[in-house]
Amino acid sequence: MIGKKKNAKAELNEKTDIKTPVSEMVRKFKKQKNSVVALFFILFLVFLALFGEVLAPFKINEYDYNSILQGPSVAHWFGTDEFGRDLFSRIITGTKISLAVGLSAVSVGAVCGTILGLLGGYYRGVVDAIIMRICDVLFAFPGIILAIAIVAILGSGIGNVVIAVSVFSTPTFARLVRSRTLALKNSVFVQAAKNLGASDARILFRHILPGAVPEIIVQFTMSVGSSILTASSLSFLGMGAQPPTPEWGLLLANGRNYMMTSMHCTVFPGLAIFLTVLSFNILGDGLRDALDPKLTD
Amino acid sequence: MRRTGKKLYALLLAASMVALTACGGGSGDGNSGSGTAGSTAAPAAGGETGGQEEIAQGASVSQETDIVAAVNVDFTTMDPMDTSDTLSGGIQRMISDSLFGFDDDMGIIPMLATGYEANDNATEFTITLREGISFTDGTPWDADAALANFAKWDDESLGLKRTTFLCNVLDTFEKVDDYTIKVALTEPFGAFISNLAHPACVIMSPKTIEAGVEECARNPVGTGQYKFVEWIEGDHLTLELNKDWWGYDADICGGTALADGDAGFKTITFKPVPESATRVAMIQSGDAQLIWPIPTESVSVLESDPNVISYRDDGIVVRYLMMNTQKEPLNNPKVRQAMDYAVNKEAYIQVVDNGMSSVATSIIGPAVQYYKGNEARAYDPEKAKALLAEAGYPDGFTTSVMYANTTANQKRAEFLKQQFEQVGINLELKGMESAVLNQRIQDVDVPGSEAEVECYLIGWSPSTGDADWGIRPLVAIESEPPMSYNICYFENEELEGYIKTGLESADDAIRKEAYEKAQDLLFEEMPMLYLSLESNTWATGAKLQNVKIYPDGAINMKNAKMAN
Repeated sequence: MIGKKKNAKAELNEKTDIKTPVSEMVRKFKKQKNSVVALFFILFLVFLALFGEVLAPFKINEYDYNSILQGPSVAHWFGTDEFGRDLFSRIITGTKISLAVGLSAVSVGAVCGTILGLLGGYYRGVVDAIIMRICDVLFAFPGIILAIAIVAILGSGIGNVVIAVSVFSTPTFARLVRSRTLALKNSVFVQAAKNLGASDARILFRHILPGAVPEIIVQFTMSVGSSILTASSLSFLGMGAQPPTPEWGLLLANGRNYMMTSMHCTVFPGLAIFLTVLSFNILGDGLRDALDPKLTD
Repeated sequence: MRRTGKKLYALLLAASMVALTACGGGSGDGNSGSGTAGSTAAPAAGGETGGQEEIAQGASVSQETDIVAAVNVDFTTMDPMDTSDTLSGGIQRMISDSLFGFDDDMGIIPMLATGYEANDNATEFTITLREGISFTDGTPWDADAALANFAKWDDESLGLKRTTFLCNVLDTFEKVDDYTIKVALTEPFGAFISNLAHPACVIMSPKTIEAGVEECARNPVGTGQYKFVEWIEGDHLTLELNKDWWGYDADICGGTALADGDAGFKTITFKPVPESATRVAMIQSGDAQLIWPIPTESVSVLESDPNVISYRDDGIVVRYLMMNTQKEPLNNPKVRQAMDYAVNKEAYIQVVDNGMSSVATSIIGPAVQYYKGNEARAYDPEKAKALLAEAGYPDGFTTSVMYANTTANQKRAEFLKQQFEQVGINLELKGMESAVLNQRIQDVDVPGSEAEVECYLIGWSPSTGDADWGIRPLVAIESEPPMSYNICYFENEELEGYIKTGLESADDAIRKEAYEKAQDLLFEEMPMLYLSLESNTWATGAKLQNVKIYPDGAINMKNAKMAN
């Protein structure tokens, strides 16, 4: 009796276990242990970004001139900076800034790039030529140089860093989406939709775009990491966030002056940037493996 | 395979951030640092430090040695009348002597002159010249050579930066005999002799002057202890010891020689190294035998290095927070005093200068002639709040500070922001690149009330060693931008009177009284906060001795010696 029931359940499971793309992705993703760890680390960062200010033991600009450049201790986990400010509090409060800059810049870049890529790939001709040549021009510059140029024109400040990073992440998305569009444009289901009289907008956004989503997600995750790095670099060079903002790149730049005497001032902000960028890259890596239809078990 | 590639890429990205810490952002302000492991940088004691064995005086090494000196910025020009930075001025003092010069403490001593006589109201000076000297190009030093220099100083058409330094007061200058000249001024000018000791007035060879300003800027020839060899912009500037310098000759010097001719080296190569961590590394590795300035956070590191001797000396560079006295609410003296009470100067010295400066007590430093200190207002935030309330700002106000975005200035500004916050003043930080800053602060010709600047961070050292040049360019009405540095837009008739009295008299007692009153008045009115009196820091390899920095920050290698 019991055995029979079990059997039936197994049978049922087998029947209902239809592999949807999402469940398939989750299954494949779970196999990438590194990526799962990275995902949890990023979730932790998001948590810090949301609640860091409340959790921080000290206020970010709370100075104590009697404990300048102290090494890590029970009171100050990451030590103190040149004004006696608690580095731990500053770093966890800075999480919000780095994540916000990274996510917003790449989001803007992804939206613009996707639209341009869809248009270029679908309509071809002059539109495509113009879009792709502009992308080629942007590609010709190394990302950081382009960002520096844009910030130099717009002036320093975290807002302008977001614009700069968006601009240089746009062409990557445009190319990526364009290539998917070219491939999907001639597929049977798109042709069918066309014959049924679907509008261009419907074809682009309902039929072609979903086909490009996996690539966009992977590229998005990867780009967040490098965007955070670029934003930090700009702040490091004095073109991004301005003091006393606890932006990681800025913390690193400040710490550099005391690198030989008070290493903790560079080590902790450096680690924060390192781990965050690494996590986004490993996550992107895992997502790509999980989403790539060409890779099988 | 692809995954490995991506991971490598991720690692590389992260590693590039670490690499960034090693380059980027050298500010050339002497405040980015280096050192060895350890915890907090302990404040260094003044004077000579370091633990090497006794050095036998006089035992010099090879006469062919080249000394490498690493400095924080590049040189601007070799034409003294076109120079506005202390570094270039210091090099020019080595190549050329002036009529009057300074001893190590900036006391005035006769150099190419032996003395002078002035009439009572300081309008006519008769200067006697030293005999038996010639320029390194062979031209003899006499009245004609002196007049050629005066003619250049008086020539406004050359368009040199320092021309207004003297041309407005010079009237006539004539030769009395081969070694006597007579200079008449258009108005009484008590600080005339001090001004002749300013590095802008070092004497150049008449041949060089004749060859034009371009030649003066690139190939200076003087009577100095060092001969100019070459200057490759951005790379190095080389000087060679002038073995025939008159200062080695006791007879010409009138008894005692100015220096010992056995220096133990032949040439000095100055290299601009803006990144201060690199300068520190150069002296530690022996690539340089002399560096200045030392970033304050590296002082303790150099002190523990047995192969390096680090020095610190009181300077005359005073650091100020200038306030635009024509803009609300800074036009209220009570507000300015409140801001003075709100800043903890002791903490400033510890936090910003690592304990390596002292509390400034006047607009000029103690080593400047006619200095009179007033006891700095003690840190008292409660009193500051009370004064602000009295002035009608019980809840404080918002103002901004503009500054050149060097590492040191950034720290100063952040510190002030923290201090002012305690009394309710919100200080916005406007750090910018120095060319942009000059444009927005210096190149404006509008009344103070319309000027953009509210507060401004600046340091000043009067290279004449006289109170006039420490006060007039900063607070006199005639010095408002674009003319000079009265960025406070301070206009005070009483002060103008003192400045005029000081200028127009050659009588020591009268000048002293005028400048003391001026300093008292400035302390009460507080057009600028005196933040600190800065120290000069420099370091030499253990073998190089007797290198000093003049209080104004210029290099002094008169008695420099390489010894084993």
